Amino acid sequence: MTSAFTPDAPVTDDGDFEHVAGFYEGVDELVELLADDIATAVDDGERVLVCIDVAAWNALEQRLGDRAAEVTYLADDVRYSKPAEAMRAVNEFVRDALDDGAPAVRSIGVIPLDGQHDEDWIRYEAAVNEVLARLPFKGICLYDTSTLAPELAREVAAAHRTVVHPDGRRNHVGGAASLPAVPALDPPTAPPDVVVEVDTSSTARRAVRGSLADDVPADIVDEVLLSLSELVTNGRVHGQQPITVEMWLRPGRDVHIAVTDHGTGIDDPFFELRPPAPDDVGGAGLWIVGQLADRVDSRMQPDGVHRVVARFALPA
Amino acid sequence: MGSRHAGLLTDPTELRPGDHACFGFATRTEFVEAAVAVLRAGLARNERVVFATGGPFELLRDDLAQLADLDERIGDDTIAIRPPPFTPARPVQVSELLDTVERDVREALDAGFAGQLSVLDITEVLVDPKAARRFQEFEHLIDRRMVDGLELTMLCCFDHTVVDPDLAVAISGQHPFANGEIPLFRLFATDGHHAGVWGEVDASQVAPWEQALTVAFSHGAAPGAGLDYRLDCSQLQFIDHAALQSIDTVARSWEVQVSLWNPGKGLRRLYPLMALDSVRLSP
Repeated sequence: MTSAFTPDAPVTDDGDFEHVAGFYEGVDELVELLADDIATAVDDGERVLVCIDVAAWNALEQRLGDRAAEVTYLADDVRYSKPAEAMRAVNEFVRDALDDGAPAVRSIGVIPLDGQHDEDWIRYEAAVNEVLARLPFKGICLYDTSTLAPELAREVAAAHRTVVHPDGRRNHVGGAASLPAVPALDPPTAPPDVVVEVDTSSTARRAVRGSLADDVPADIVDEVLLSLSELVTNGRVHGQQPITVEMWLRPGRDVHIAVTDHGTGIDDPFFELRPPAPDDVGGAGLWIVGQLADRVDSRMQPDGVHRVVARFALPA
Repeated sequence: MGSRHAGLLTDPTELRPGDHACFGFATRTEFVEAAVAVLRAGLARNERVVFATGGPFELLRDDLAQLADLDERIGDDTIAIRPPPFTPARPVQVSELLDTVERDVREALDAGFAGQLSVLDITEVLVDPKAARRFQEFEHLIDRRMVDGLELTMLCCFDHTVVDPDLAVAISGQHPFANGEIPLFRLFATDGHHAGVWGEVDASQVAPWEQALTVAFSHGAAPGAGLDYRLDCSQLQFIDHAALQSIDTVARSWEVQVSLWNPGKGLRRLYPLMALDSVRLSP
């Protein structure tokens, strides 16, 4: 299995791409960290996206004055619902801005480390270095040091090219030497509600659909079935038969699906975060699963089979 | 935009006047049994019937021997036996065949019949690529005329053990009704120059799906006219990203804009995740 991520490759200093970690404590330091940078970007005609909480934005808006009207503000809980959504949002913003003729794009946001999904967000940061590296993009990822554990601060810094402080100091870090470790997404330990070997994605849909109907809202059923179908299709096209599908339903909690095949796994370590290329015909399946599921994980199992697991939260 | 009924053909004798269906069979016996049952039902409805299949007349007459008053009905043209179109025995062009069918239906109505029922064995047509393409085109255009009120009921049959599998899927998928589990989709004409889709369509059926879309979009209007082509999705139960992308691919090649009408929640969820140039959701 080859990987698109080469941890030993030297970090290239691409003038058009910057990925910065900004440490701050309190709204005043946040404003100090951002205000001049945003003002310069606006004056240079760059398109700026800011995703911070409303209180911080109000303070920043005051400092920016008229320039604030040129900034796109998005509430942080909208954009940062999950890493796949954050990556999609920034990609769309960059694409639209460049199509509109902007010379560069700046995206600024507070990364929501909450003690539960921190490894997923740090992996997201590593993905930014690769997925957006060829674009005229400057990303400033903000971390509140009053709540950030020291060991996480080191991991965060390592996932960026540069660290910037409120007093203006900049430390070039150069990116992580290896991919951050992310805990596997394991399905429930209970026996699956559905387990079936399939030869087509329609067989898989049929096997799972009936088991979801009573306890799962219709819109989540659609997301599960589409994700399942895309995963089975991917297994048929890029993996190897036999393909096995499993489903676990925990009413009021979540649905897990697992698709196992006998291929060599998914090459791209950021498969669910990397948007498909515009000319990639039929190649968006895994990315779509990343958009639909709360979390998706691909692993080679100890017995040598490849398994993808996706989780969908259910309303309580 | 009205919704046209479509789905799985479980029993050919359940065909109703105006239905357009496809029946894949594995043996001649299976075909003859189904054809006779359908023709008998059509005769009971006072439809003039056309039985179009290859082979000597006497053999075909023997196939229909179970039908009451057969010779009398052949004599007064209530039952017509003909070779299938687009074959060496009947080398017609698409427009010619369309005119012939319309004329036949008019004459049947003038003679006091309720309409016309045609049962065709198109196996010989489908094993010839050129003939198959003509037939696909004819199928779509006659389907449009049936939507527009042509008093025709039609059952197209073929031996699925000898026809190319992808073509079999495409032909079946072009009919509002078809038997068998494959294809999962039906693409059929609706009012005006538009179409509807029933069932499920996914990456495994992209090739026949694009064939069916190509036939439909190529007859929507003159390419380049910027036509708005409506695809009614009210009976579409599932579509994956590859099949949705196919609609865009074929639409772009024919320079039409496609509006997806009555999309379900799944399609509404999927659509924003894809950057499609020639497809939009109708509100």
